[in-house]
Amino acid sequence: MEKNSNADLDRLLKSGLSDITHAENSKNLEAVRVQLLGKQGSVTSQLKVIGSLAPEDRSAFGAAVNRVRAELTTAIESRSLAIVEVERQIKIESQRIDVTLPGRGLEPGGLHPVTRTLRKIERIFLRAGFNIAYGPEIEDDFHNFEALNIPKNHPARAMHDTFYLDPETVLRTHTSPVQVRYLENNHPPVNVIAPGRVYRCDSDVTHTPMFHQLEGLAVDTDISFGDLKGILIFFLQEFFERDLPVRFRPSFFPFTEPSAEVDMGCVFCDGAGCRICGQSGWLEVLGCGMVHPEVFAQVGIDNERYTGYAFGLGIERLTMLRYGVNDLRVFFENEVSFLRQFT
Amino acid sequence: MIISENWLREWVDFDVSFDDLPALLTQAGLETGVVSIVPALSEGIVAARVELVTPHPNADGLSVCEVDGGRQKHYQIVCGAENVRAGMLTALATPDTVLANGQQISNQDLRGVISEGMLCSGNELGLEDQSSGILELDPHLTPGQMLDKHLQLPDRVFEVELTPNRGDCLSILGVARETATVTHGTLKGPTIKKVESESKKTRSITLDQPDDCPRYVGRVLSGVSPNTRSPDIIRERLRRSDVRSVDALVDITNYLMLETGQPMHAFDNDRLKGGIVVRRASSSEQLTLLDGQELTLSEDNLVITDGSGPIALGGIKGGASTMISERTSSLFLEAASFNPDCIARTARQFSINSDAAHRFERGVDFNLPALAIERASALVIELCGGTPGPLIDQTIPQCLPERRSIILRQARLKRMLGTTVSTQSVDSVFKAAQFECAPVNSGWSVTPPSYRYDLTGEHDLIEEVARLVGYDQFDSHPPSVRVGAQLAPEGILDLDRVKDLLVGLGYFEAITYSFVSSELQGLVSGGEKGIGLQNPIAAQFSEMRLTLLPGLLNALANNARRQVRDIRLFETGHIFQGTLKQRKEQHYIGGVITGSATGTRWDQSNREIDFFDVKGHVESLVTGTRSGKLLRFVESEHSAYQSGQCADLILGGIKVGQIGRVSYELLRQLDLERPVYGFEINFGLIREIKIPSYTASSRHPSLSRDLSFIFPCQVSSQTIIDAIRESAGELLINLELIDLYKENPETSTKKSLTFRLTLQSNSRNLKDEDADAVARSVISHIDAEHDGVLRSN
Repeated sequence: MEKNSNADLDRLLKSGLSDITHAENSKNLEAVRVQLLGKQGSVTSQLKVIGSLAPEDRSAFGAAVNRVRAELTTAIESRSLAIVEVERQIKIESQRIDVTLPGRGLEPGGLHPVTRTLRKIERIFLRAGFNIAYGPEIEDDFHNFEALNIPKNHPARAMHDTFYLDPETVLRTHTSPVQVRYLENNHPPVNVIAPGRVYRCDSDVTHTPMFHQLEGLAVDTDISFGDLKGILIFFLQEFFERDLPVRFRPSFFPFTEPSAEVDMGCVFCDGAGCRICGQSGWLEVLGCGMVHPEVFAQVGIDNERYTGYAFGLGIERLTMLRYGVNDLRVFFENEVSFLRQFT
Repeated sequence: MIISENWLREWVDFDVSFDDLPALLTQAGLETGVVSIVPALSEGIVAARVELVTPHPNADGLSVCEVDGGRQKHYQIVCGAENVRAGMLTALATPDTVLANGQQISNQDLRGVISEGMLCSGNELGLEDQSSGILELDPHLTPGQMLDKHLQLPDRVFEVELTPNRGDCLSILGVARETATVTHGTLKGPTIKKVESESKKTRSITLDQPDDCPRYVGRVLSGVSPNTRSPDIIRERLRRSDVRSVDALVDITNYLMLETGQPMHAFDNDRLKGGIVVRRASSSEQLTLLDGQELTLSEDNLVITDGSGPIALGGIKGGASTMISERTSSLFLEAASFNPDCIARTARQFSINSDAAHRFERGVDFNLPALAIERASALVIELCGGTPGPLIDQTIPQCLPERRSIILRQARLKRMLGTTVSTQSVDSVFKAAQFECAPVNSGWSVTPPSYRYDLTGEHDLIEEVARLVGYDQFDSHPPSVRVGAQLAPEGILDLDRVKDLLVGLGYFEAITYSFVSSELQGLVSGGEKGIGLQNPIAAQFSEMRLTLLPGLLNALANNARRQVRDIRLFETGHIFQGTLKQRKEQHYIGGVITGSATGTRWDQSNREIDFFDVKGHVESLVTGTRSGKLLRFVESEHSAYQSGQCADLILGGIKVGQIGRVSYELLRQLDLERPVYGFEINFGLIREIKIPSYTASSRHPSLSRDLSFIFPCQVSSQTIIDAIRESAGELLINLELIDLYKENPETSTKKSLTFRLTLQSNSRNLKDEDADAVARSVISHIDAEHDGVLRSN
């Protein structure tokens, strides 16, 4: 290989730089690089010439060739960066999408509103230190009635339209038998709620043969009617997330005494009176009272040492009031169009 | 119980606006509705006598009446009522009168005859909701007389809904008593005079069963005229109480019951044979009640008998053989005391809900019978004439309900209520309630009155004080956490977690009735019967569910009928297996699913859900919740599912559920067309879960090998997976089936399965030779034991 003159080197540099600048993509640029700096490249071959020069020429020529090589290398690098950028831009353009097209996930389902309400209620009572207990839905007469001071033929039995499986076995008409079962197995102090399905042989616009109740029970050495008022006011105000008025009215349940019905200020009219509260401004929401001594006697708890309260509330009723459902029957038709509204 | 103001005010003086009374009674535990008004009559409505009735010349069913409207005025009235007749006294609305319902009365041409006003029904006067015919009035009224005072108008009424403990308030007297208590008013009441006997006619009374009937009072009244019409005042009061007027004799017993709470009965005295004996029926004795119902009695039933046998079901209903009729001329009046339990038992046994039974089973004041007989006798004599015999009062005093004194401790009162009630407040409550009460050491001794059957212990007195002081007077104690709730242990699967997982998988939670149709259940459970209800609400809810499927499938079908295409539903709840005596009530989770696996997509065709989608859901429920046990699917048969697409879920060797494609037969039954899959899991059997326990993960790189084998089609993939795990050794950290290939999906007898084995060591970097060794071991095992041929690539 002939040694280039300095002018040749300049030309080589110029034409190399021009080739680099004109390389339009990585592939062209690579070809240019090989042609200049590859093993057989025009600059590389000049480097090889150095060894054959007279020692006094080597230094100056070597420096000149290396300068050309360095300049070309830098130019290739910077051109390469530019090309990568351009190519990326092209790629990005080609990858543009319509971000408004529907996403691919499956629509999630949802909980039944009764479950939604129950969870809300349970959270409130868990915070107040209550445990959760469950009981069977097929109950014996003793737990559903006798132990709750509702003897056979008691007129209070007529308050329950009972489903019978045989004369001694019923579908529980309320969650109150869980009170009895819990006290049979746990010593006071007791703080427990018991949610679940209950059954009444009744079906019309305002009754379904199955619905849900939640029972509450607290037994300790000094539980009073004041504690009962306190927990229920707390519960209703937490549940409806507002400062509702709550009133207690004397009533009758065989397993509590004193007994009370609890009314809260109508959530639809703020107590002004509307169709839903029958113009009274009040909504009846639950029943409660102090545990009857006869119930304690049935489970062997000393009535002088312990006192307690119990309450029962209807889950569907609270769900209807909370979410404005105005028809009880839709809860059990399980239409997706209904269920979807509570996700 | 409907209460009329005018009637109530005869029994009690009180100084509270009548409109405020319902709230006061409600706050004392008698749930009382709002007051409604029985309006005064418009001016222009007067008593009138119908003098002549002739048929309308141009209209069938209409009459033309000549009516004496008083003050020398006669009117020609066209009337359509069937009960119009000459001689009757009725209410006439003269022209220019506006009725309660807004109707304007004027001279009107009715099919060619001028009607100068209208003869009115009770409904048109605002007295009742429905009327049959025009109002008939007392015959002694003077035509032209205004009717307001005569009919005690205006009046106001309210309805009291009584809890079963307050039977004492099932009367005007009882509500008057309660009114006096809550208003601090004065109970009065018409004085009841004794009726002097004018004949010796009597009848012996024997109380054979004094525990059931400790008191029986009667009187013979001879020479009465039957079929007498009750006076308007009685008819009006019965009407306002929602009781139909029949004739004076029947009305008097009803009136007395409404007024005093004492149920009464009138026998036709001439049809009685011999003395009255109150006893238990003997087995299979027969009794026909006055409504025609025929009863076969047992020794459990208390009956009133005469020489001929049972003549009434004691305290519940009279019998047909001795009932009064239009030929009755002599009466035997009865008022008695009955044991509440005895009445309740029999009434329940025969499903009779009479007004008498309703009161007796709640307890009727045992001091009332004689008073009621005296007042009824006086009314009978006044309205129907008759000669009274002596009052016959048969009482076994030691069998009357006891009224023992009860001690109320002040400290107990405070402890139960949480608020101190002052001595004066308690004193004044008992005084207002007119209880016999004396102070005792730090408390009171109270003897409940004869009419209160609900006061038997200290707790009853506490409630009595509480309700009369007012529940709003007691402090409310904000909750303080007493005992920390025991949260569910971490090693027990929470139902909420399961529900949330299913929701995430696109399922909606359903809640279906626990009773299902026996037909559908039979199809689902292969003819097995659930525990039956004795009194189902409808045939489609006749037995308890054996599985969650019938309810879920019904809910799915219900949605499909409403054109929902993609449906995923789950339910959790109890199922009831076994016999009633040996039942197993278990908590299950179930799901049904139909429609698209992916949801509609714009870039892919819609894939229908299949077995393996549902299997994936079940796996995430069981293994995804850290069960820590081996879950297997073992092909099985089940009546609800299609053969060949059904499997048992075996967790740690125990069957915990089932999954499958719903059978064609069920789909046909439910009118479903697209494939439906279902699953059920016994929640109790999957609840034990592992608490996380950390192990450091290996820092050495992993290697993988893909191996493809060809097998006969009947070899299950599970078999091969097990074989690979067994033969690969402990370096195998993951095994995946990455491809399944059949040359022809329908006809090939061979299939190719490709597995990816991932290998890793905890202690060293693996080399290719290690992986090759594992592969060799697997290949030779599969080849030797499972007919698998390694596929050459």
